[in-house]
Amino acid sequence: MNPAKLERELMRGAGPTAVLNLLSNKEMYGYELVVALAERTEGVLAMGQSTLYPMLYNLEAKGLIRARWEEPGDGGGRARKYYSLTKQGRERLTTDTDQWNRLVTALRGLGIVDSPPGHAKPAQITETGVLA
Amino acid sequence: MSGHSSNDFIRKLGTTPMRDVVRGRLSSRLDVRKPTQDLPQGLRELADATVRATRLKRVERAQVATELADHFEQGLADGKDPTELIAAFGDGPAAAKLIRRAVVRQRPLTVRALGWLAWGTGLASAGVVLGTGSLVTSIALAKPPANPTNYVAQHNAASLALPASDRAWDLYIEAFDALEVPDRGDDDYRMYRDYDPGITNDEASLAVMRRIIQQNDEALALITNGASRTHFGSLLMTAPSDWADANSLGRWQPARDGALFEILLPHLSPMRRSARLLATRAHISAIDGDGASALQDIQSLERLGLHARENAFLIGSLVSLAIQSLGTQTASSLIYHHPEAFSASDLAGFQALFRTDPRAIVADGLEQDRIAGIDTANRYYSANGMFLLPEFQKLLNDMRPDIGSVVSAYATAAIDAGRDANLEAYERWIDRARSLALRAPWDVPSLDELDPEQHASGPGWRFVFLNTFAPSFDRTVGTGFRAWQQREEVRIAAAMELFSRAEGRWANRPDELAPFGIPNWPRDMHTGDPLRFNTDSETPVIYGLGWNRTDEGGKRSEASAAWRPADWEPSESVLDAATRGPRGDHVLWPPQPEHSN
Repeated sequence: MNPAKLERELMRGAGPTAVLNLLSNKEMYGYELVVALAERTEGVLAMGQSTLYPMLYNLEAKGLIRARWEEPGDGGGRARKYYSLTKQGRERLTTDTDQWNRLVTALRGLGIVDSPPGHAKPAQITETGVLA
Repeated sequence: MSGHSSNDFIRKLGTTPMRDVVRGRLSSRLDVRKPTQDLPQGLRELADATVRATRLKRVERAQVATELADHFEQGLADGKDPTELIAAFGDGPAAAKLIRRAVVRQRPLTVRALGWLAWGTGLASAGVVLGTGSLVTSIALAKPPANPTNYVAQHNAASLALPASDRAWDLYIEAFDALEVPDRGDDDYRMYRDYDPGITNDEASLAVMRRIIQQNDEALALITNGASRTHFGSLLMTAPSDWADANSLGRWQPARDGALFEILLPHLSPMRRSARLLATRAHISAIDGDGASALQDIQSLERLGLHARENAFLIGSLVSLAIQSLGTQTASSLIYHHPEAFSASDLAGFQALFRTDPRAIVADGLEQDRIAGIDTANRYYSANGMFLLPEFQKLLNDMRPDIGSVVSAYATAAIDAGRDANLEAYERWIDRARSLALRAPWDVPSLDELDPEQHASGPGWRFVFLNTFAPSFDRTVGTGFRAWQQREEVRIAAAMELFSRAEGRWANRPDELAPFGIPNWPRDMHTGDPLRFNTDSETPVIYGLGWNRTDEGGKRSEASAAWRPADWEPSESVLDAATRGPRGDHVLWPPQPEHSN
């Protein structure tokens, strides 16, 4: 697998979870999400609009997020589309977060990911799964 | 695309042709261009090109354009350069394609159905103009779906042609109406519902079992009598008068116009209840030392199971296997836990009873479902799929209430695929499942082959019949395999008991059982190898390797240990429940230990 492909695959898995996570705190509009993703992930999950907006529409189609339009006030300006998490999206976020945590734990057990301070003991990987 | 604010409706109105009319123009192109018109040229061109490439409806394009314009304006306000924003945007055409896909998916059914209709009508009109006429003919002259064959009438005619003395149906119906079901709040109800052959004969349980049997004495006499008849002779519901007790009718609905899909099979549930009563009575007989009566009830149970398969649906075959599975489990358990009740002749009777191969039951059931599929397709699905959208939706909703509102997407996909392609895919799967069902289990390494999701070409829901009628073919075939091995369990249990009586110890090798009714040592259903003996302890263990195909010395899998025949429901798989444990072997002997209720 070449590095570019790996990046796309990782983004495909991590991007929606990251967006759902950001929306779990407050509703946000597209540009706000782009900035937050770039800043809070130190650029690792920064994505262009050509990735973000299809992803938002897709999450909306799946019922994981909902959208509402806010009309400009008396001062003029442009209508803005805000996204927020649905109940289904919140459930998906819980599931996805759990899966990512397990993946990180597994990678930590293999020494691929650094252990957090105070958790130096590597996880054991057994026949039936990972034992923390 | 869904906005949820109160002003969303007004926004949509603002981008409809009505607004154009008010403004005196007939195109809303400016509505789409307007959101981007104040952007710098490069950004405006990028946004417009992307929006245009989505090929969405006017309203939807306007919303996408507004959102992109807002994004770029924010970027400019943050001090970013237009060139920088263009570079950060990425692949516009790819984004347009993905946006279109997501937005189309959100369109309501009415919009999508109208889209298909408009598409079909447009093509038909073009056909008229061009004089080809072919598509016009298919749409204008296609008749509503109709099925020339009334399978219900055929089935019932065959049943009614049987001599009355050969038909079990009338006796069963009378018996079902006579069944005494304990109140749900009653302590007896659970044992009535969940009879388990492994249950211990403690005094309290035994008292309940005796009471239930006594209350159902009349019904059991009728069932036993019915089971002795050569044919089931069932009538598929076509009119209320088919049922003897008018009070029973409220629970069931008559079929309309001979449609197989609409037929309910209300007899299957009381047949299973009757099977549990027969097993319970056999249990009591064995405890009382009357092995001959126990054998007789197990024989009736087996016959009841054979009758259950005689209808036009695969579900009848599944219930048949469930009933017979209860019979084999009860027989194995009673022979091991209450051997003193059975004479050598009784034990030989059990071996003879379970010598037949049940896999043909599955194959027959699959063939019956082929007819049900054809009948249903022809009734609900015209050749071009255009006529019965509402009925089709209702059908899908009835069949799969779990899919809820997305039924529209499935209906649209199914209509797109067409009836003939659907039936062809469905029948191909029936053929595949029948072929596997009749093979030796060990020659079928995986039943995943029968998972339509993995093999249907194109979007799975295009093949609606495959995906709604056929999702359990793998389980069905697996259940047949399991039933086949369970019959070996009874024969082995009887042989072990006969050997111990002759030799004063348990047999330790396959060849020792050959003179006691097992001339050919059975194979492990999972591997095809001979079943294994573990003789480490005084009581040997006879086992197969189980789902993981790993020899664990005859250690029973957790799933197997937890499984009870009464747990079985048509939607589950005996094979799954009994053998799909992550670990453990498939133990054929000794049977499950007794346990308290």
